[in-house]
Amino acid sequence: MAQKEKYTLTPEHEAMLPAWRDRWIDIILRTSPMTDDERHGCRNAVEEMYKIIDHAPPRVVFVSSPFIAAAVSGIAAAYWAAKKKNSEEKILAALSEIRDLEIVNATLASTIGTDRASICSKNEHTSPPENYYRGVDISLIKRVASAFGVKPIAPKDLWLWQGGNMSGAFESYLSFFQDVAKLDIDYTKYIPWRYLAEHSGPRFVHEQFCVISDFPEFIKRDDQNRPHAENGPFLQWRDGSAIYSWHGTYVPGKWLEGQKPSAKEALKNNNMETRRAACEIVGWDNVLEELGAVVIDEDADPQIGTLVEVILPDAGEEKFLRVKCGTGRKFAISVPRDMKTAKEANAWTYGLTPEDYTVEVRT
Amino acid sequence: MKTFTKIAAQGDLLLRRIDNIPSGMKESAPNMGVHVLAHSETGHNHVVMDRPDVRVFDDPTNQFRGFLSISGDEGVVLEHLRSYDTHESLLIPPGNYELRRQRESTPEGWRRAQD
Repeated sequence: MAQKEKYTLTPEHEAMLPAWRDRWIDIILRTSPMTDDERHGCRNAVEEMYKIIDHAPPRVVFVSSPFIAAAVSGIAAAYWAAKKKNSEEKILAALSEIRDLEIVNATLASTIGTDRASICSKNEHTSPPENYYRGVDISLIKRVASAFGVKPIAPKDLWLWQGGNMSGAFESYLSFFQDVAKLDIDYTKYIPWRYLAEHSGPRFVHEQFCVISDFPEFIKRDDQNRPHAENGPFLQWRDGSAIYSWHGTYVPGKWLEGQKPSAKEALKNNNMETRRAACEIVGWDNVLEELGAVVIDEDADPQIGTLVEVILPDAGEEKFLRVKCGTGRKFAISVPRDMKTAKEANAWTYGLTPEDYTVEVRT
Repeated sequence: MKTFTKIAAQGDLLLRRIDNIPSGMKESAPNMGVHVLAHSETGHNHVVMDRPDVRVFDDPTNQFRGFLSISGDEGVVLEHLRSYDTHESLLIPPGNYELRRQRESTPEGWRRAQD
């Protein structure tokens, strides 16, 4: 075989990297729903992938969220396993435990091939979630699993989860070499995989079915591009499934939907990142009061503030600047441990030295 | 309306008069008729109206720093876009300014302070 020349990034191709990066960021963060044409294209792509591995085409089912996809795939996989033992009727009977119409329709479409269309039904939530996600009711999954004598397992252990736009980071890399660098290799087997990465959410694959999720309804981030929302989920699908995050830290949904943790509850959290997030949600000022903060230096101007030291569980001594802002509200700002005065700490928050920090007016 | 000569602050945004805008700064475009001098996570930004003699720059090396240039004879008003807990507006006189956005300490270093 003739030796191929090793590719080196050219200046022309390098100049195209930013636009390529932005293109794939848009794909990965997409929130508009799939179109009918895309569903048609995805169905063809899945069938092509199964054909490449010499497998019969699966039943392709479209659902509203990865949560629904996981529930459907688990139950459908159990059905097909039970069918081999001629005990599939027990699984179908267990579907009567489920009240979510979309799960029922999608499961039936994945199993006995019903023509009933999948209907996106909004989950009715009566109380904010204890966990960092709001998805399919775990208790119903447990009841269904119990009905056919197995234990439910986490979706990550199901090994059916595959691809989709949210796994697009690696596709952005591969597709650059396909479209821009135009490496001389055969892309035939990659094309359908790439189509699905560009036009669908995550999917669950099985020898008998492929369940494909739609894109989310919204994705929220903070100014550092971390998952974040203050008054609800940062990520939500059109059926109401959602995930909650505070500046990149998963937190219980109830904390962001009207049930903030108490200062004590925030401090007692075992996970240090979650504890920090909880303290931010509670308000550090409230937390510091409860921790009995020691005053290091107090400026005469409350808008310069008071430098305090506290001992945080698992983090040791930390310093905070308790300060009154121009609106009259009080904040506690985390400052480096080597700060010695309130003015030094306040100046530090703006990247200045105390000598440069002579504010004439503050509103 | 309050104004200043050299240094002032509105919430988590500090303005400091300088002689010239440093080289290498990236000019930012207005959006819907305003320049955002400091973003708020909840959309309660600190803004000035777009005018031909007003230019805003980002520092590509420092997310906490920016620059403002007012080359005409009239100052511009710095407004805080929030209908409650609003920071009082501030009149910025003509001149060049360094913009400093407030930060706080984290285990990883520091990050923008929340307004």
